[in-house]
Amino acid sequence: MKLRAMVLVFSLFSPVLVAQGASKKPISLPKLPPTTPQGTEGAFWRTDNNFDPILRLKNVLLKQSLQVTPSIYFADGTQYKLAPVTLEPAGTGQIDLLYAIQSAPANIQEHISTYGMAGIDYQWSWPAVIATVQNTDEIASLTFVSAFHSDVRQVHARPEAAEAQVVRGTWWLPTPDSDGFLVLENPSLNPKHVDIRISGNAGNQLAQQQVTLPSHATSFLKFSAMFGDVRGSETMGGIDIRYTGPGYGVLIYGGIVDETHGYSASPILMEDHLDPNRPTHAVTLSVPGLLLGNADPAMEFPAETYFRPYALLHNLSGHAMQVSLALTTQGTSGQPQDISLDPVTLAPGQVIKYDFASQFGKSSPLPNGYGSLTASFQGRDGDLQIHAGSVDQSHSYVFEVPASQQADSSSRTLCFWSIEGDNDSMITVWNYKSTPQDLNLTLHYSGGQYVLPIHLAPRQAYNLDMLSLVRSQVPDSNGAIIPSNIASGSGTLSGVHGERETISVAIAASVFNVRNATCGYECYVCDGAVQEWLNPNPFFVETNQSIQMQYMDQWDTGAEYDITGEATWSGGGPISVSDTGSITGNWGGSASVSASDSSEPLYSQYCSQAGPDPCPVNRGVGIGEQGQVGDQTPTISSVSPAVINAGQTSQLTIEGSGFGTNQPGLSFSDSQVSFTITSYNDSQIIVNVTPPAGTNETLYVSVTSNGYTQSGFGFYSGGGGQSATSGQGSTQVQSAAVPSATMSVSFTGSKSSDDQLFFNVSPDECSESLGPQTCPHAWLWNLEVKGIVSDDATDWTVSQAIVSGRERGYYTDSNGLLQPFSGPIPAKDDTPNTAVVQQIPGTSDIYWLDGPGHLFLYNNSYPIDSMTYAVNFSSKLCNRSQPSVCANINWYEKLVIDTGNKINTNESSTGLGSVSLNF
Amino acid sequence: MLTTAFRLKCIAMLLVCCVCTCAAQTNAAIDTLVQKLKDPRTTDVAFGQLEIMKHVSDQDRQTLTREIQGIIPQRDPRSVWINAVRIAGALKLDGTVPLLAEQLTSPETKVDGWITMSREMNLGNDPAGKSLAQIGEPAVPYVSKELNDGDRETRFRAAYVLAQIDSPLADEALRTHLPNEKDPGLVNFITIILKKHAHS
Repeated sequence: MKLRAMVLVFSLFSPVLVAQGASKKPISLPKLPPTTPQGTEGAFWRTDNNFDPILRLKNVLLKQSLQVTPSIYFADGTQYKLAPVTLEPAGTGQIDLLYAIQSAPANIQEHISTYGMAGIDYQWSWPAVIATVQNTDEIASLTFVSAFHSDVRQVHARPEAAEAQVVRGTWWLPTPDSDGFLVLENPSLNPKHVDIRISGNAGNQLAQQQVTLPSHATSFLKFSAMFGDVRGSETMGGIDIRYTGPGYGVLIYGGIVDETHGYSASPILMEDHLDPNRPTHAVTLSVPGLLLGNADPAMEFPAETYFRPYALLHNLSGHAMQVSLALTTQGTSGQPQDISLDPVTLAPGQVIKYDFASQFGKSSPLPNGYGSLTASFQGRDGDLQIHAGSVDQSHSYVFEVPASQQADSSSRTLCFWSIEGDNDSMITVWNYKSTPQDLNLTLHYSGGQYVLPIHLAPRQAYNLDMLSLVRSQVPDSNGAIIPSNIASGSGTLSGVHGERETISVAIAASVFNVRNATCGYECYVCDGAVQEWLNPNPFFVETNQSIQMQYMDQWDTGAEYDITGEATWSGGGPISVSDTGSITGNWGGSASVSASDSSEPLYSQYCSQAGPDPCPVNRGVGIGEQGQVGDQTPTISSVSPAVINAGQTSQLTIEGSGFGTNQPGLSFSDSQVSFTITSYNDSQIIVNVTPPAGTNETLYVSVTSNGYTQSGFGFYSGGGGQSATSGQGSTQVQSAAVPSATMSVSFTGSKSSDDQLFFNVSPDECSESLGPQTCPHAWLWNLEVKGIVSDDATDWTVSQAIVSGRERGYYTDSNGLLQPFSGPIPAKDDTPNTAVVQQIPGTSDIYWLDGPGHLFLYNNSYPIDSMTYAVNFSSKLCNRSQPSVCANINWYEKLVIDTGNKINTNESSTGLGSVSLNF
Repeated sequence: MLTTAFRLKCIAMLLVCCVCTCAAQTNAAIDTLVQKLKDPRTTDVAFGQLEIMKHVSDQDRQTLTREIQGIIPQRDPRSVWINAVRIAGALKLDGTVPLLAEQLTSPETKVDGWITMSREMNLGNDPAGKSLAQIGEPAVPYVSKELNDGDRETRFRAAYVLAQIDSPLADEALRTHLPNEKDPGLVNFITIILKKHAHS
């Protein structure tokens, strides 16, 4: 019985093509609908000899089933579509391609070949199906596993990319009877010219061949045919294949075969998408789960089967490289033990097979069990290829284990495990860190899942034999048991806190068959983001308003995560963006916001034997989104003062928001209102308003925004439906109260009871009574002027004037003779002295006193004998605040003095109006 | 040709001569106006010219004060006296205050025979009182003396003057006098005035 391990060279397959080791520039993962056509092509199948190709499909979605349509492409490129299959959530499926080919319809028959490629089509938002083909020849104990890794959405894109591509790899011939082969496939839509160069272990070229491949055609080349007789003693070396086209526009697979020993293995063939400017750093590759020493009896190998590790190291860099190696085993005490191995130095392009035999002898025997090989060097990602594994002493049992780069990652989905028939699956998880880790291995199968907690001490490895687990029928913590009729499934390795938790492990998984001595390495998926979006989309925000953006992404498993708080936000111009994703509108206009999360892992598949593991390397998502800032509907919060006077200009202050920084418009409910805006800003307008006189009304005002200076003149709605014009604010217009006053003069009787004034403040007075008075030095007429006002007495000013007057009579001169005198009394201001005016605050009555008259002496010198004296007065009240509002009253006094110093009361008079001065 | 130094010297001399001439003209004008003021035929015209003078030099003020001091006691011709008294107030010739205050003691120093209460209290018929009020605080000590020592008529006139001055010093004089005043009418007047001044 022969066991042959075949590890497929499978390079990066991601929803986006990302250069490994690239800079940390965020990758944009646009959101696509679930109806988006998806497809992947590749792998190779062969039906020659006794090979039976099995197509395996894995749905990475945990909660969504998918319908997948497989296709077979024959060597000439002819497509043969198979019936669709439905994959359960997290489910797997297998299709026997040999049976399908044998069942091909007649029109296909003439195209049937013994090798070719395959493809699948389905609909989903992102590539959610992992597909591999395992070709097994149970009779010859040969098996080869190859994976689909050409994304048709990129390879079939038009126009087709015309980029120079290079695939580098390693070949070796472990035995004299070994030979190898290369499978060249063209999944693109155009023919491809491929240049193949094979070199020896020192980088010296051994063979070169050009092949032209029509679309979807496959070519099969044997090493022996290419080498001819030039190989000589070379048993290992490099492979360099070049073509022009999109990435993975040509797919290269290979195999190493020794049919006499039942040996099958795969050369390393990796398409180079490495960033040429990637940094130099300390790189460590891990090869976990190597079988060491005596075979585990539980795995039912033949007795005395003894495994030794092997490793081929290929320096792809342009400089010499020193590689340090170590082997970590379980140790005799069960504790992890690091065994340092001799370092090796590789010249540029050199390929060597590491000499493990020199490291383990009788004094230091190879431990039994499992071990993890590490290779460290100072260089760049991808500079070193390692092909490693374990092989028994007969070269029948070969377990190939791919190397992966040590780096943190999120959860990983293991695509396939099988215990079908004589199959068993081995899953190895190695904690290469010096700190313990707690993990969950969730095993998915049809109808359920089984959670296996794994605690790993520092540098400890865990090896799971699936057949033993299923047979144990031990329930998990949820009571789940993998039913005994379950023969296959998949798995997810994650931190105990979920798929986003960072884990630091190296893993290996394989399906092996002890009976037919075949072992196929299985791919795994590095879970991560597949699409991202912002909510709301598109965004809309009004000026001076804020909205909270939400940054979401979705992982390959279908889970959605809110990464708003982890993101870096940016934006500018019409918007301001906070560190937490809050957007504030500054002014109307088109705007964009972007968010990125440099630590978010990207989804990728890993089926590579060596080279940089894409899982931890590709991190960082970012997205930009357009939106609109619409000018805010202006809002009036207050108008002050609440009351203004009609007919007067008042300063009105309008407070609110969204008025804009361009001069806004104002609209008043009364079209006769005149106004002038004196100042304005986004939240306040000051306007001088003059309502028409005599109106009593509620004056409504509304503001029309003309937008913001930065976006030009005019309101910008941005499609948001806001109004440029505000609702109404108002102020009350009241007709200014017209003050009034009525006046009267009392000439006789007593002073008014409220009158607190005194006549005796004048020395000429001799009575507090009204009416004519003959006092010691003068003839007087005491009178009281009264005003009644509509408001307060103190709001009025008092004035009085002599309008006209005349005196005429006789005086006695110093000689005793009567002398006539006559003359006018000139018009003069006669405003009452404050001592004879009463204006008490809070009252509406105004009083003042007067006692006009004449002294007994003419010219203060000569006694008057007789006289007629008449004066016309005008008394007046004027409102202080409205000076034009006045009331006045005209009155007069006429005194007739008879000889003998007596007032002729019959002819003397006072009264309202005026008196004639013609006397 | 004249040298620069010589020309500057001539300019300086011209300026000096101009100043001398202007001063001489001013003195001459005041003298003329004073003479006109003293003449009943021209006294009203002179009053009008003097009243509107905005800037009067100290020398002219001294001249006017001296001349008016000579006119006031004479009281004759009456029109000359009235105009002299009014000029003293209009130009605030405080050197005339003692004589003006003395005028308050004589009933004959009032003008016209027709009266109203306010004309009397506003000193419309009391030229000397009006001038004292115009001169203001320099007049307060002399007017206060008349308020304290004068007869009833004189005290009323003095009180009216102080009320018109309407200054803290004048109000203080009224307030000081109030307790000693016997005439109820004057008590009323002073009380009312002090109250109103306190509120203004």
